[in-house]
Amino acid sequence: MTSKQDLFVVPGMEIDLGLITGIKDENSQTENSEESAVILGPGLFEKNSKILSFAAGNIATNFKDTIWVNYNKKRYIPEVSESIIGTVVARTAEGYKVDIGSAQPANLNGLSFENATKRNRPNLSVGTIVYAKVVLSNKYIEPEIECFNRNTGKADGYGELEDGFVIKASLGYCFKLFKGTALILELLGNHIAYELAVGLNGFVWVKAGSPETTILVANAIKNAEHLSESDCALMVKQLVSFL
Amino acid sequence: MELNANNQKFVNESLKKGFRVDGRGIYDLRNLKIDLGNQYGSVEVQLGETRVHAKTSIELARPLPDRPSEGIFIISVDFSGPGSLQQGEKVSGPASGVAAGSDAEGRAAAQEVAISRLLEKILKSTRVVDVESLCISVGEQVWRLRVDVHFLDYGGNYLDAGIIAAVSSLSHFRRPEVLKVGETTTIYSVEERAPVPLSINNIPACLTFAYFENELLVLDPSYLEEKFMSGSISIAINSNSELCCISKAGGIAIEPDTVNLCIVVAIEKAKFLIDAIRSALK
Repeated sequence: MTSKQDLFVVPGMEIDLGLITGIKDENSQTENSEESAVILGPGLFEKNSKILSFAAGNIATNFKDTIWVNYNKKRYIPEVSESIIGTVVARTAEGYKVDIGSAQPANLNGLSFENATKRNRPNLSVGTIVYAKVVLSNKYIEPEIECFNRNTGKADGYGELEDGFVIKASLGYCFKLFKGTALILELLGNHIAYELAVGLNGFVWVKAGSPETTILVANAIKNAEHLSESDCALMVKQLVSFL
Repeated sequence: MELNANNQKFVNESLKKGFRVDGRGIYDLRNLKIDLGNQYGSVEVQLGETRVHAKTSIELARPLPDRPSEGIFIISVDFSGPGSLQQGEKVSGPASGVAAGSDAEGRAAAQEVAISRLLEKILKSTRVVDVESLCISVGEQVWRLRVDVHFLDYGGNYLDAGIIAAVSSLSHFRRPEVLKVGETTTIYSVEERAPVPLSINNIPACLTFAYFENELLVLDPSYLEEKFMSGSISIAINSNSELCCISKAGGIAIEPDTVNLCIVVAIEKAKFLIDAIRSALK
């Protein structure tokens, strides 16, 4: 049987769930039905009750109920519930237009913030960056984003990002950073205290105690994309010695 | 998207403390890579994330009437494609303020014109190519030399990379040999006789400084620095360490002492660049 790391797919390829360890096997054993739900993550879609890939990369799973394709690209296409970093490009009557790197700027309602009321809402100027969640995305209208959790009304970490430095990275790398599978964040964290926000639209916001440490962290993250874990450790060791 | 208020503030505040956002020193150039193509005169230059391709070509032509004994030297600069300055600036979407988009485009177009004019000025006024050597017979036939500079990727500082590419391309180029015996001139094709190099008088290098508030200077500005700078000054130095050209178009005023400082640094760095070009061509 093919293990999950080895299953490579190209666009248009049909995915046989039986070949993927940890997904259907366990489910079908326990529930013994074909209806055990599988969640399709990035890179996959369903057509005529077949699972097809629209990306080239390795199949990955969470060994429970979700499968996706680990692939890389640079052009961002918004997907509901993704966390993104955007720049306010214009103010409108209801809120803001935010550039999130997609084909169209996203709409951000002025009330979609924690504790925002009609009288008391955040006042963001053009050029401000926000950490937000995509709540609406389809091919016909502009995407919509929010800076709070609609169910609880809490910010959940979303909102305006103050100061710091934003760098660009590939979408695949941002996904890795977001998932926490990139070792570099931990390696840096052992030596330097820093704040980080990863947008799945290919932007990373970094803030550390001083400009030089922010620069160090930002460039280390940028350069670590194509480094092996041992090389990352070596790089961090060298960088930290400069501090 | 990288052009937001936070990054602007960060770039400026780091510079006040003497740090650049890509970790370079104030007067450090980015990594320079000169790739020679498999054809004479085809060169690709990479300066950090900025990429430029230059190609030299030659053809026979009639000389200009007012300069019968000089060859014709043309420089053509192309910004279309991913190297366009307009692309990154565009604010996407028709609804998101048409005014902002067209304003940015206007500025980008002006910047493109300024870069291509300056590129041409530096290459022509420093007399890189001895145009008289391109003459075959006076008033009758000369070589028309053409350099095409294509900007492929924009990572800041187009001008310096463009000059390096154009100069390397010209130095790398070989033209067909011409033999004149009495009245008859023979032009040997590349297959018949080994082509000859152009007569290059000197190699210029251009160095651009971006300056920020409080006379903070940085050499070879990156994309972000170029977007957030208060102005820039470009200095062309030739291989004899002579000052060939200073250009400061717009931006805030700077002190004469700052200009002198730029020249001193530029002379030092030009040596390095010219050596890099020469060693790449060996």
